[in-house]
Amino acid sequence: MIFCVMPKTQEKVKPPSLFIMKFNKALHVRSAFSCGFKPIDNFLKSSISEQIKNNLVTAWVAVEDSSSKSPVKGFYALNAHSISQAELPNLTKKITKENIPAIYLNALAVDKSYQGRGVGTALMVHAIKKSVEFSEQIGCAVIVLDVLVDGDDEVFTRRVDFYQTLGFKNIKSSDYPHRMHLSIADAKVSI
Amino acid sequence: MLHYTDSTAKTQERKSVRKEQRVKPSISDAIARAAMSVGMDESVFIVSAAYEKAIAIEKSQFSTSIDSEYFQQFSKVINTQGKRIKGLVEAEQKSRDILRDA
Repeated sequence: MIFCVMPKTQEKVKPPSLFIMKFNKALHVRSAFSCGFKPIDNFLKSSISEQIKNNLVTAWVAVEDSSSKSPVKGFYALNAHSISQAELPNLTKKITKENIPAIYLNALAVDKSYQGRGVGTALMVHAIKKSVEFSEQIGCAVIVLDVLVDGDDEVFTRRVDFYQTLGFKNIKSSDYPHRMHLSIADAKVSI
Repeated sequence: MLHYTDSTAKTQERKSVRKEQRVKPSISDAIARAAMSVGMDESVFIVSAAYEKAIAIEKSQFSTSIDSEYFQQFSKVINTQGKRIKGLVEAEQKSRDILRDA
């Protein structure tokens, strides 16, 4: 699952205050989470624990209460990623094998009860800050994400505009037409 | 004749797991036609195509492959000094009080 969900309404209501913490299966209740896009709900409810257990992703959740069992109101997941150059069929041409280390924003979504209140943007900023922190520890040059395509062209355009506002640019790849990237260097000087 | 090979053929395991699905008739017809056109048994065709897709999806979570020429450009761009992104600065300021570290 490689999508991000955006709220369909403008952010007008008073901003809420939530706690953000690493996902804990025992503490964070996922059964009632609904962002309006079922595959993301399913990912949170059915797949994320397994992916964390297998050390494939890490996830952060936004909750109202940090000290006891609390329902998830928003979340995002990150995993290690790399950008590589496609191999050319021309065997006579020597290609220097290089990979650019990256962080992939696997999913980001907000429960319907909190949509349109800035939580999505706050999670996005938190994910970018975390990525910058990771880059200082292990070396990483870009953050990568895929823009959700759910059939609503208008909302899709708004999503792309939103990511562009945050500095994301399209990756020119025919395999991943909706994949975007933000350089860690830009993120570092911006937040 | 169109060429398509079984992407699971190299996996040296016994076929011990059974998978069954209900399919819409027109989808089933299209799959059967495509399998016939490459001279492949329908069940082998379905599993092979699904397996290919599964591998591609899993791979796309962990890597992005881009054209060699663009890769060079891309490397240069991300290695330049960072630029302050106004929208990101504003987003950070606007969302500062929404999430508190627990």
